[in-house]
Amino acid sequence: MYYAFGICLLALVFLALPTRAEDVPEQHLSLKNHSFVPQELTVPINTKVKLIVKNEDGEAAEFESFELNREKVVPANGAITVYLDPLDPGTYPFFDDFHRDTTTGKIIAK
Amino acid sequence: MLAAALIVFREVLEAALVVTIVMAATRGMPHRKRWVSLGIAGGVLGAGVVAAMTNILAGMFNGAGQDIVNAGILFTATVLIGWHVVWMNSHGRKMAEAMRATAKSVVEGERHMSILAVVVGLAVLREGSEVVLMLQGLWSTGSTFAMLGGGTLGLVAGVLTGGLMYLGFVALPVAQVFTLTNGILVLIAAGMAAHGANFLAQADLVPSLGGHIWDTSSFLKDDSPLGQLLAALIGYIARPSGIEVLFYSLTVTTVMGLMQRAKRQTLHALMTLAVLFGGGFGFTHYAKAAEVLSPYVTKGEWEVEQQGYMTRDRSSGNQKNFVGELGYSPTPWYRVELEGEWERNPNSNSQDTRFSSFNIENTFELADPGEYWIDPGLFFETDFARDGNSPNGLIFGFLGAHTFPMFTETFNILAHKDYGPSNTPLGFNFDNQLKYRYKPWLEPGFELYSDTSGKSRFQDQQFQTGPGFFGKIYTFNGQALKYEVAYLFGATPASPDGALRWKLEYEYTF
Repeated sequence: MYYAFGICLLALVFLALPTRAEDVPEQHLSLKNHSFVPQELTVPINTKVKLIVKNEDGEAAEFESFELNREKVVPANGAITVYLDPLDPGTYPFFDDFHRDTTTGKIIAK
Repeated sequence: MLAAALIVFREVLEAALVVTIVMAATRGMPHRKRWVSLGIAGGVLGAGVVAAMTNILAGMFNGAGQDIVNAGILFTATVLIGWHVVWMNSHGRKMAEAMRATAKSVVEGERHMSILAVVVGLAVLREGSEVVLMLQGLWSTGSTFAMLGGGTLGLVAGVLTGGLMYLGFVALPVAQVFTLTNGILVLIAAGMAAHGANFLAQADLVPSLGGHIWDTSSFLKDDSPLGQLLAALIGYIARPSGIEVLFYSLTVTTVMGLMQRAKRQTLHALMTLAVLFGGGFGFTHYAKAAEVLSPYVTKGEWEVEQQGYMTRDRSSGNQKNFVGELGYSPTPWYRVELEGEWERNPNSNSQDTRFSSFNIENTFELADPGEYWIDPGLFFETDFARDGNSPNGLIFGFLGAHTFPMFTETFNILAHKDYGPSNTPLGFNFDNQLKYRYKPWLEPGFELYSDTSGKSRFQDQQFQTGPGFFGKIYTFNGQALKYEVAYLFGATPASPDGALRWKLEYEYTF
């Protein structure tokens, strides 16, 4: 049983290898006056994307999406990185959890 | 000619695998060779019939006829193999070997063998019909000699390989053979269920729930020789769809859950009542409220949590464990939780729960979600016992998660040790949660909890699996209520027969 755990840990190290930095395309999203800019962001399908979310408001926001399974606070006048998994074609809504009904957007994978 | 040989070899090997394992699993049972031969003969005959009827089948049910028949054959085999594994597990190898002894047990043994004959027949029928169809295709291109020669070559090679595998099984000690074949059969059945689900998805009769949940083609391709062998043995699929993963895990969980169930008597309802009102009989394990920990941290989030864990078990007292917790994440990568734990110790004669320990939990998010293939986290917990009768404890380990298109997978690998009175040796936990992201407020899924408890034999360790529901209900801006509820079936004697666990959490981020 203990050997099994040792092997599990080794396997984890192996599986946790990252994609090379230059391979991951970057895209940008901003928050201005409690609105996402752009409200609809297009990303290529089946590609890991590094999304930089910049908050130009003086108030903290939380980038959240059930479909993408991401939940991360964007500090006031700050920026965060959110990695998007390779997506199948479709629409993936997201929102600012602090203004759930009014501040929304979509990621379109195609 | 080589193409025909390879095709036939592959299909015959898959059927031979089932025959070999059935033969190895039934040592000592009456007339097993007769039954298995009958199954093979029936399968061969059936294969010819199915192949002949292919054109008719294809047209039925708006073109879904073939898929329905294939799925039907596979699901029937899944159920029958599952039944055999559960039966074998409850009767034990001793009884199977003593089948010759009494007339009644011989009759039961014969009935069992007849069912296995059907399993063998179905396997031969499925593989055989594919062989016939492929050979028909070759024949129509005019290469009769190649087809006959290659086909015979493949058949002989497949049967010889199956025989070699059987000899390998014969060389092992009997007890190991039974455990091993039972284990392999569970996975074969699960693989068949997944394959059947795929046929139904092909015919658009069930949703595929995501095109490919993961892709391990870079490690092992589907069409490589080893990949095909693993496909037949454990149901390996390099790029499985959601419905395949679902049917596979459903089969494994159901069969494992039934295996322990089969040992219990049918007075279950009365036993439950008796246990709830009875006293403790002395306990075999110290159980903590179960939960699968998440590696994710959200900065500025406050959380208030309540967890419960209640067990029932025939051989030891029922256990109750309640936790109340307050947590806060001061940074994007660190969360601390302070908890109070109340327990009804099955050792005591009282039914009351008393405050047993104060715990501090620390979670570290090591990377951004999605940055690596596994979202990694570290976990460290210290338990401070209320009085000298309870142990102090330490828990340390790795938290991992991965977001699939429609599923969320979370697992923990932890080491734990209790110090002081009733201390325990170093134990390891592997806990797992797989849930389907249906709606934010409803995510159905499965959980698995295992604890070595410092023991080396699987029967003395704890192993529980079962279904659960999870979800998040948004209330006010920046606030939400999260819930988890699951019922876990014990799969070893050391695990409680049944356990109910729940978690209610209110989070407030600002």
